[in-house]
Amino acid sequence: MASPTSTPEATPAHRAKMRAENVNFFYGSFQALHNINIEFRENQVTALIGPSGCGKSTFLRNLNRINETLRGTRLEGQILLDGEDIMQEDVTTIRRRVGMVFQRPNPFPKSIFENIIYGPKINGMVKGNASEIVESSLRRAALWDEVKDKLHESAYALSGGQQQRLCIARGLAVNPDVLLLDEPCSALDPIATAKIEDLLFTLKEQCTIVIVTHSMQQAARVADQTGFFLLGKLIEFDKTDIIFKNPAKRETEDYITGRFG
Amino acid sequence: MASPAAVTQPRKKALSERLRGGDMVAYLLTIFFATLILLVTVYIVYELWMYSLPTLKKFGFSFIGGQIWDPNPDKNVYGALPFIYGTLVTSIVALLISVPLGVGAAIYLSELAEQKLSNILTFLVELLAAVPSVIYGLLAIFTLVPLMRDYIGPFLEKFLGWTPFFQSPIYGTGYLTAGLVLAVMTFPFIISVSREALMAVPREQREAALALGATQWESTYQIVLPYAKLGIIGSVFLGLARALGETMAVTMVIGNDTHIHASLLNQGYTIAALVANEFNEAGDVQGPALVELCLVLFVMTMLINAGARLMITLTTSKGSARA
Repeated sequence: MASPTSTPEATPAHRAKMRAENVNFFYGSFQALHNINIEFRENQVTALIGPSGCGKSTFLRNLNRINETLRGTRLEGQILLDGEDIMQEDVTTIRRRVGMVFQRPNPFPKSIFENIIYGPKINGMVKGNASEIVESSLRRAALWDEVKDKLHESAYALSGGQQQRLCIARGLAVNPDVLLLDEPCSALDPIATAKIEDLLFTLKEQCTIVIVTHSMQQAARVADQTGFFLLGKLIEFDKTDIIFKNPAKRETEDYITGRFG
Repeated sequence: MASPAAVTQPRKKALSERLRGGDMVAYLLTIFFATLILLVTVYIVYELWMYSLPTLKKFGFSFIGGQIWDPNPDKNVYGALPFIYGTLVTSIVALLISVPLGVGAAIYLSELAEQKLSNILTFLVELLAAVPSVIYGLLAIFTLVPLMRDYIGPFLEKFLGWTPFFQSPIYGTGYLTAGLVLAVMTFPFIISVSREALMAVPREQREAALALGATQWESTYQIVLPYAKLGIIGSVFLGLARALGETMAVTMVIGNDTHIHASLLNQGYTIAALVANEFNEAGDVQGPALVELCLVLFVMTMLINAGARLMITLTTSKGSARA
């Protein structure tokens, strides 16, 4: 299960899809992020780890500009998607291209079918092919076989793990370039968690994945690169192998060996 | 190993017994109050029924459909239709105005307004709900009635006079005026309950929609509103209940005319207003007739509430609503 972490050095195929440059972020007068520089490579999984309140989720929520919906927040620095500053682009386009899966499954109180087709619909992507979109999205999230006979039943009838995969399918339905996952397994049992982790290995063929997790084992299992956050700073960022076996910074080592956090 | 268990056991038992005793008291006390509510309701129906027996026997079902209300001793004929009609028409007019306004205001307060502004406005709105209805009535007599008579009424007649609903005569008082006053009186309820329902929608729902590329309006209209649907419907029925039973403000501005008119600009009467105006000097038949009207009003509100329940159950079980 843990073998894919040994992915070798980033080949030219894994070019940087998204990049943060000198990012500072403020809730009112409180500075939550300090000068973050990081890049996310295409078709790779990047994990962001660190203790609670270290800013990893806050940082993730800047990548699709969802933090803007909170009052009194301010971002400095640049976040680039394919070299373009996301702050200069239309916010709905950015959010279509950078999908997000949340900590707790949050399906809409609608049918499974309607949940999936909502995103394509508002983005004008449905042209008589709604059923195909729904099927392919559910297949990509490895949920099709479990729900194909109850597409028009309420999404709330599904188990927690299925709901979370439904949320992943919903995010995939709009064909995002990048998929952000904010502790997607924290509300799930180990079996449901394993299913989602398996899913990430196939999904990274299709898009760039950034996952925030409080579980170091999870990061070790799924991620090609790992970034360690502490007190709003990115302490260390490297290949997952190096972070876990031979970290350069004292804080990283303390954290992964469980000496604090 | 054995001795600590022996020490803790009696204490444990005492605690559980104490709890059980307290639970029993609480259970009896609360079931007493719950039963009281039911008993009061049953008692109301019983009393209304007993007091209205004379007219129930004398007129039967023709009371409901009767259009003439004539307490002259030589006629003594009583029909409920003009008042049922007036009650329903004024309430419907009130809701047609207050639901869009109230829900719209609630959306503003919960989704768009700054938190501080929202709290201040909500406080003011809830203050509106506490204003005694006689004050609304007086205010309407001084301001709305002349406005209706001199400007709004003639204006409506000019442009919509070809329909039966906006025709002369224009008195200033009447169904439409009463409906407007009721609208003002119901929308504090609709605003504050709808706002609560909207604020109770989890933040994750909004963010899920936004994260898919929805605009703020799409997220509000397509996700947040449907999620809060039940609460909003609840607020509408709360408003309706108030509108159906409102007495003082209505009787001051509806014109108190015991005939049915199609035109909203004309004068009419509602059940509550009629009972309030006539009961003190009611004769032997008129009194029971008024009580029977109360029974009708009671049944009307019951039916509307039951209908609302049914509608909510039906829409919820469809699978598209909250589980």
